[in-house]
Amino acid sequence: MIIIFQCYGGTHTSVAAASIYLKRLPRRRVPQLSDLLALPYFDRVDRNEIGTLYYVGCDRSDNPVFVLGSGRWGAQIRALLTRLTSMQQQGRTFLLHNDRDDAVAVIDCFPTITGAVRLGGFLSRRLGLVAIGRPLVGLGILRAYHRFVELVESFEKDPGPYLL
Amino acid sequence: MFIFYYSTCSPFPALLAAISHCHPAISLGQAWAQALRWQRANSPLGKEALLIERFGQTSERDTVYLMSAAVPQPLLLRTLNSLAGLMKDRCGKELFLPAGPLPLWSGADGNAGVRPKEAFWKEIKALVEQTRLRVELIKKR
Repeated sequence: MIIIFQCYGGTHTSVAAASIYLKRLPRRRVPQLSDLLALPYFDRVDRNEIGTLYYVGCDRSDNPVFVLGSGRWGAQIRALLTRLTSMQQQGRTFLLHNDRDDAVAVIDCFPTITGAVRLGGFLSRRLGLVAIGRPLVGLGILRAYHRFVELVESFEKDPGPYLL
Repeated sequence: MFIFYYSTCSPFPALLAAISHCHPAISLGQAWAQALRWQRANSPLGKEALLIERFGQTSERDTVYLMSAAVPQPLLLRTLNSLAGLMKDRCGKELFLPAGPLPLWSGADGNAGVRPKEAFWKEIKALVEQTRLRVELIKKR
């Protein structure tokens, strides 16, 4: 299975959720801000890179995990990917499902977003005020950390609704 | 190989590119008329609508697909290119090629807009030729 954590910029909430999933961040306690800010790709993907899939690691079942920013077109991108994958199910030889292990799951991290994350992301990524924006995003994520853990655990419990 | 032509908010540029790719000798007038006919028969309603449709096959037996949605071209092409790279890693060969960016169509569908038809057609032809060269290179590897 290919696992994709999707958010607006592919650099804040999706990276945090993917890191929880990959056990780089704890689940039973809120991590330190410095742990969050040190994550690869955290607040480090520029606007002109939105849409690129970034590999962030493999889970215990050796499934590759990616983060993806889709701007405000997240739902459209998911619909499009769903159509692309379903084309093979309609009998056309096509991409993604080349064998039975090649299912694709997309976890939309947009519901975890808070005002602080939005503001911090805007300051850091849009205005280039990294010194202010990055810690603000981090603090925003830490304040709503339980939401991220819930999202990840909901996916782990039942990946079905997330499969394309 | 699967070739994707994507255009934002209107399938018209992707449609012209697909026609040009499948019928290299076609004239602007013929292509325009064919695109209008195809669009009337197949196009979804509304600029936000998502369209993915198989258009046809090239003389080299590549399959050409049309895509249209509200997603900006650069963003979607980055996602498709990432997916294409991923699939190449997993399958060992390049299965699909997202072609673009196509020129933006400023007029209403099928009607000449600010951009003259001939200039628009030239840009489409250039992109199609680039795509053909990319396909040729991929097949030579």
